[in-house]
Amino acid sequence: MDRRIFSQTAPGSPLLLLGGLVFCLVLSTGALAQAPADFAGAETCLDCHDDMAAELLQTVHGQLSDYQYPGLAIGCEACHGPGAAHAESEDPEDIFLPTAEMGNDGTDLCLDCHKTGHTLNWEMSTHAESDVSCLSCHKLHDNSSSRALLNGTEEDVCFTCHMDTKGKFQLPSHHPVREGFMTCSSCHDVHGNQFQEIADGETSRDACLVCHQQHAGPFVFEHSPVMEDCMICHDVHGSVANNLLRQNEPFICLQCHQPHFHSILTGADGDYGVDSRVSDADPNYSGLSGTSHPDSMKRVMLTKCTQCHQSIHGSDLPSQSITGQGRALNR
Amino acid sequence: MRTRNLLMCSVVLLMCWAGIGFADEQDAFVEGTAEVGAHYSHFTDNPQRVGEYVNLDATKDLQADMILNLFGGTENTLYNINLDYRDIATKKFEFGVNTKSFLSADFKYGSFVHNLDYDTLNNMNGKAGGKQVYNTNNDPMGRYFMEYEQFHGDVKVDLPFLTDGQIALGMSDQRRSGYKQTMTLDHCAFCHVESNAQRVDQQTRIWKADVKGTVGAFSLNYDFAKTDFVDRANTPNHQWKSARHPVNGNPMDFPTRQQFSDVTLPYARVADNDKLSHNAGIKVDLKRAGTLKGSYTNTNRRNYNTGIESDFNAGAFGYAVKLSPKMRLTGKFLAYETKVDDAFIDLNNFRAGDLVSGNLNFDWNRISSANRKVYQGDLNLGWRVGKGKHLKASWRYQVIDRPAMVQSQTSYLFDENNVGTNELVASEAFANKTMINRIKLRFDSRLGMKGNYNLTYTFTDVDMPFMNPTAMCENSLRGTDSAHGADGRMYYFQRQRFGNGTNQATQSHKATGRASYQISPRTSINGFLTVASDKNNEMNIYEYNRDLLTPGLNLWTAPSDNLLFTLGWTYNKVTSNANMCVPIFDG
Repeated sequence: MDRRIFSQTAPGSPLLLLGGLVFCLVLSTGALAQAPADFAGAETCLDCHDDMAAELLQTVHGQLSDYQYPGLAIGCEACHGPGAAHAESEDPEDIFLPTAEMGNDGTDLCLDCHKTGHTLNWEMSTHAESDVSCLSCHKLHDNSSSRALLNGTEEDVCFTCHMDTKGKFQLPSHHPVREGFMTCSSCHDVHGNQFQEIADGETSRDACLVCHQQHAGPFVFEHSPVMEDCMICHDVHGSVANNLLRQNEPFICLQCHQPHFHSILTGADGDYGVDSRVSDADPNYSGLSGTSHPDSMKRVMLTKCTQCHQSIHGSDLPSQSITGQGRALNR
Repeated sequence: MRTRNLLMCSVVLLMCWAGIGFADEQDAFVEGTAEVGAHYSHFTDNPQRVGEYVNLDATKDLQADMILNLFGGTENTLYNINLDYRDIATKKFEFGVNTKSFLSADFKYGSFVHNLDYDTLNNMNGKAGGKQVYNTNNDPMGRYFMEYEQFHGDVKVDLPFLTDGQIALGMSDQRRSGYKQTMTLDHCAFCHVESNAQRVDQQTRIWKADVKGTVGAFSLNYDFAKTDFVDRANTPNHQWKSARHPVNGNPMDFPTRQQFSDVTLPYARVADNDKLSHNAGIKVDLKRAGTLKGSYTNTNRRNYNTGIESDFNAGAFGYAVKLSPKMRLTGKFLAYETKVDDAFIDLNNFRAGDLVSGNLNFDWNRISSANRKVYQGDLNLGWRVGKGKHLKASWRYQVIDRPAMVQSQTSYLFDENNVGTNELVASEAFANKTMINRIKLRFDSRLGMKGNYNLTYTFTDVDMPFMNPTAMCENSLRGTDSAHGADGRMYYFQRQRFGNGTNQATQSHKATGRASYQISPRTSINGFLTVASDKNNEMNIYEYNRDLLTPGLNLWTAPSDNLLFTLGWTYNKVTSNANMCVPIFDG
């Protein structure tokens, strides 16, 4: 049986009364009107296929109303075509089997109804380009209790192919996906997005800002990679370094910045004596004396840059140094 | 908050209505699962290290767990109730109802705890000559966490007589509350880092509206979203001490080198903001001639504290067509522009009283590094080369045209062509045009009836990737100081260099393989291997490399219908080299 949009619209139906324009548009879809007599109805299908079809009727596909998809069949015959002949002959040749007779597991048939909304970008999506079909992730029969008719939990479905990502979520720092507080679709639009390949949002940064609005700005004093792409510093699926950093501080910072020259000064640390000229003025500095270590300034300056540059994601408040032009991001 | 409570009450009323309605129905059905259990955990040392999402306050006692999944309905209505309760701060609840697929509503509520870092600042003690770093920790028992609490609701009404026609209204309310560690840096005579606990009380509320439908060959979609973000916690204040010279301690010398001194000011202020977005899309089904798609997006984001706004405008166009029953071609083009308001930074004159070598003006006009025009084209060819075999080849060309790579313009930098003179010159905007070429090949195939595998290779070539053009910008100043040379501290000479820096590759190779095989009807095995090599040898000071190796193996076996074992192993090795830190060791 040829692929077609299975229509129950008979000539003279109310749809055609909507006007010439709609009439022409409907015709332009190529919908082939089938005489209602060709359709057996879901109840007839259930007589034989009660194992498969009964649960289908407990899904949104089995509960569509006549007016929702005007001119199109509903129930089993929405996908399998007119079933009257098959019901009469019981010959499998007389019924349309989308997965067997259409390419890509019958995805084009799904798209006859799911044209817009989430699937508006499907044809141009990375998944479609990789020959991923609707049935790669969704299961229509015997699956009524599953949300969105997914073939398992969302993570199960995604991790079937994206195994390396599953592994990353086991690393010490990760988004709470394996804990169940996030899902892949919290960030990804798997049906396609016109901007990123599958990230949800105008830019990859916007996908992150949905939950991390405190970093949105736009700030007076920026950190340029924050405005460019969060993933310059963060490995969002999981990392060994804390806070999903690609590398621990200071190494992630030193990939684009030279350290302060103070880090190379031979110095002292611990309970050293504080210059009396200052300790006299400030009790916080008083009462210290004793040991020293030549690596002290390295430990100060080369352990964690955000101890001083705490507003690393941007700030509206100028920092103290004039020569730094207020943009040291430490306030 | 009041709005969310009102919505929560509405959900409860809706559930009551659904329950009463179902009770009257003859053909009502319900099925589900319920699980009860308990958990106990104990920790020593610092629990944040391993329990990032464990509610530490709830681990003192035995905690009851409960999971309830219900699915039911009638001939005309379906509903689902899902509850996952672990402790008072760690829970999820979902309720959904769908009436004859005409009206559907989904509501979700959940909360969890994210434990945050605690930095003891133990390393922040050092002294070198007159320079000194010192710390004060005002919260030595630091316990920092964020509780995420989220409510999400969607109501969708199908539009009759319109294929895939629907109006949807949605609301999402996320609350982040708790305490985080904040630090201040105070240049008096020393660098003084002070740590405090800061209250967090942030809320993000998103309102969404979406309308879609198909008329003939035309599928339309328009969505609108309004996001508001506020932090209701008080902004902390800090008293910056009187600035002094770091070597001679003179209180009269240093204040003119600082923007502020001996004053109490706010710090760690969160920028409240809002975002408005419109997105319209159209798809035309040309049947055998393919599918055409176009879209336009506009967003505006505003920082409430400063009034700075950013605008984003984008247009996208795509075409997909089956060249033959086995071959599919996709072409896409995207163009967008981001514009952020400029900001003028008015600073005090540096060493204002020194009219000979001081009184320098460092004012600058901040041009955002987010400003850009982006053009992107994609071509993709998919070909079913045989039964169960698919080959994909894709090419992407992208241009990112930025007026400024880093936030800058008329920004004063030491002149690299005139080192040693301590002159300040106006550095023109670090304009940059990044050009990206990416080629991707992917092959998918079945392994008989029991398995499948795929191989993917991606090559990316980037001309002028995102970088920090002033990663190293040191003038000589004391480079010829014989005193430093005499004591072997040659590092000052090493500082005479100017260079860019980045961890973004100019050339990247990535290969991925994945295979799954069903050993028996109850046992399957799958494995994967990812190898990647990134390199940037186009910088003027150093070369950056990053190599990735990630293999993994998973075993799944179910000895009986009620018993399932899974075993997984993943190895992840990333090696990065950015040898730009040489001066440290010279010192």
